[in-house]
Amino acid sequence: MSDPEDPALARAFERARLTRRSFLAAFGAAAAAGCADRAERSALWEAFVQQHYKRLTEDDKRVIFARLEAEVRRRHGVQVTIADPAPLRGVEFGYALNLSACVGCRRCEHACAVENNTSRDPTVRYLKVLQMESGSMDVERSRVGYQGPVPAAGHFYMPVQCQQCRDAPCVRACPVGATWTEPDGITVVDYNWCIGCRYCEAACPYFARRFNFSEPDLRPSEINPDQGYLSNRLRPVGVVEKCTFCLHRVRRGEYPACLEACPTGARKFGNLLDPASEVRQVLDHKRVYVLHEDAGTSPRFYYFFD
Amino acid sequence: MRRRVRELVAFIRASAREVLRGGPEYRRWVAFLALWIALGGAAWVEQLLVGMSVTAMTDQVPWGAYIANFSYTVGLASAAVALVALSYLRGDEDARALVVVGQVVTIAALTMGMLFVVVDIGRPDRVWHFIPLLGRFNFPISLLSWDVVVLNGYLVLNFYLATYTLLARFRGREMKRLKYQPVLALGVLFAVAVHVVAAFLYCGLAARPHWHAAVLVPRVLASAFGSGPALLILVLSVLRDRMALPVSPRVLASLRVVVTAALWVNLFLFGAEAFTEFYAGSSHAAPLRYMLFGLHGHRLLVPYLWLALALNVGATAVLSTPRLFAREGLLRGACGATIVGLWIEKGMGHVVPGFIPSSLGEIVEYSPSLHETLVCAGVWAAGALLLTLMLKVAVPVEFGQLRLYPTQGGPS
Amino acid sequence: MRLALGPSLALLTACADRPRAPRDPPEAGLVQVVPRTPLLSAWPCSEGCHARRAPDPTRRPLREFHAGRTLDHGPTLRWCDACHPSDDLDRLRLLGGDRVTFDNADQLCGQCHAERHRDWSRGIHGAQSGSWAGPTLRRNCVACHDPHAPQRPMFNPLPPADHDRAYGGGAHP
Repeated sequence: MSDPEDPALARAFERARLTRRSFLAAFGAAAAAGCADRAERSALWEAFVQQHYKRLTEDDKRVIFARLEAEVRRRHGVQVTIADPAPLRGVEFGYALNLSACVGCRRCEHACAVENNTSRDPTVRYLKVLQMESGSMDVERSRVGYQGPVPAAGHFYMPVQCQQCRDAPCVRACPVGATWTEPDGITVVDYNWCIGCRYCEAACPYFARRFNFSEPDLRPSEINPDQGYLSNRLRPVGVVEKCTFCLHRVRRGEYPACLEACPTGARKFGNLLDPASEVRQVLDHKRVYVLHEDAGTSPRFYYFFD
Repeated sequence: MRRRVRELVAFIRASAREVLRGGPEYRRWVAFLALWIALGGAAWVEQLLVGMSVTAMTDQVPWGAYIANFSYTVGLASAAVALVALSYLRGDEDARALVVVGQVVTIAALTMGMLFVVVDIGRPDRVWHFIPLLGRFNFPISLLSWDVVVLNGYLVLNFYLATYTLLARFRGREMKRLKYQPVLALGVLFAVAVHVVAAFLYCGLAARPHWHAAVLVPRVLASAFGSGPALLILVLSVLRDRMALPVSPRVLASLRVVVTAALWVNLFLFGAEAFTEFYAGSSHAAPLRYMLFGLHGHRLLVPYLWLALALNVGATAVLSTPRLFAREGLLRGACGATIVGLWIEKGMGHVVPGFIPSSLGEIVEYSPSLHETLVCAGVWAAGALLLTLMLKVAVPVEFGQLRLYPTQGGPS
Repeated sequence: MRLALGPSLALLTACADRPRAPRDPPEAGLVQVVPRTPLLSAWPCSEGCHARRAPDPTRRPLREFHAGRTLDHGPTLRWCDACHPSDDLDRLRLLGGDRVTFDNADQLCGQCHAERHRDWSRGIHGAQSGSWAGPTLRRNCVACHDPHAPQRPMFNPLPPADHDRAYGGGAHP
């Protein structure tokens, strides 16, 4: 009858199982009574009463991270590590993207999804590559669903992701302070604090934020176990997520995943406060511009042609 | 003190009795609303179980029918302040007796507004994050936090004013000016704040050119003072016919003038907006073009918006022509058209085009899913039920049929 | 158990933010150019094939050795010995006659493409990996550009997200 090997079917079953869990999680204490396992029940309660990230002590974090790791183990059978690297002193991250070099191959878009554990079905991608029309900077004349060999004649390509604004409208919009800009310039979300009102999505001029309309769906083999609390850990349903410049990587000195995946070297990343950094070299030697400057957001993401 | 408590208990018991008894028509009406509430509730439970994916919203159009109805129902809350203004600014005694009806309509409208927010958020289990200190309330930076303050504040004020009035009537006492009028004045302030903040919520977003315009503020106020009083006219005339509520024609006429003025202002501002957008023809005009004519072949909202425009123009015409509005049926029809027309225009017609095209130029259209429609219907039914039950108590209390001490004028 | 209660108790006690101590960034490291010679299977040329057979300086379609290699870079008169001197096949010849190793091929390219070369040495042009703080690994020009025929081939893009394909997006779906 039903083929257990059918991946679509397997996904559907998995989703049904996860959905039940997330519903229980959503109702915390009230629904916990229906849960057989006492440890699970207390985990639900702990999740329900968990305080805002900025108010957690190091001890709190240890307990919470262990709880989240256990949850992934229970639900997906995968051992993950959730870390919380602190911001780096004297570092402000910035990004520069060479539109002359970008060919629109979407390697960055896919590498981002793999690194950041975004839902595969429905597909959540932080990054969109716009196929722009030559002679126009009007995004309304761009398209995202292009296929076939690139770069196509008469077009250039503009990848757009979170611009990590200095004056981020999303941060201002959030009624519960669930999103904020870290000292190193990365805007993050506390996925355990977000209420899912999506006002930040309305406020973002770059279409950088994504909402989990359903429980994020990943197969165990697709889960990246190297996780950060404020970046790529598995998100619950009903909250907003976004690009964090791969915070868990860059605070260790690594490059963001999208940059490493770029085959043309169009992407440049580094410390804006360090004159020798690649991104500063771009700012100092190329004529750069920012997207939607009129929105007054003052992005840390620069575009240039060379 | 103890007598106060006894009186309060008596009031609650009398209210419960009043609510529970009623003719077959009343029972049918309540059952009808309860059915829709149950359907909406079931749809909402499924939304909780499955996620917001049962709605038609997307990352491109992250707000849909829920927030559209939220904005509109907040506009309906202008009912109370319209009557307060009539009775106190113009000294209309007939209106003063009806103020409590306006407050009840406002309470129902605000409750609906809040329910629409609750059904819209992805994690209703986390609403406690709003509570100052215990949660983390981003006040005064987030406009949404302002909205929480003014909506709750206005609701509490109206609740206080209505219950204070009704309790005083019930006990056969005079209302103490000091306990009533300062709160009433504060209520007027909050009423204005509710609509202004509801507009600021949108026009503060530089990311959305369609909303990022100062004209939105007077337009939101105009549609609030069109829809709220129009609803009040309908409610009052129904109460007059069904519950023999003494509604003086003067009050209805004054409310009609308010509605008419608001409709004219709204149309005028719409015209000014359309000129600004279309004459220059810049890309900022895209959302308006999408609404009225469609964009790149996408025209889901076009018939809907023209219907709204036709209803608004029709209502304005009727309400501006004495020969027409003199006829009760036409007056009611015009009020109904106002309510529906503004519901489209200031609901979906206001929220959805703000997201089309998206900030990256994508055109993703939106039309509510079955779940969303049922949930919205459920919330509207809940509001209507709340209004019905409150009026069932408020009208007899306000007009003296329901008293704690029916025989004498009250204890001395 | 005491630890597990922590977060619930924090709910009641912790209303103030707890500042986090920032860490020091990693030590600034060097920029390294990925060496080219280990990637060349037949290098050193003079000790392998060309120990037995001298290079043929006549222009012709390459069929026997270096088969399929086309020369499509700049003026058509150019032949192998423009850059690979017959007397020193393990190194490259600059225009002035100086020799550089294959690992420093960028110096050869930079003779004509000076601006690109400058950008590359600043880290503006070209792909890199490793660490933004150092050590940064930079690829040489020839890692991406075939110096014999530098015209870049087209890419096949990875598939778009389902919804992007469905909506197409923008004015021209």
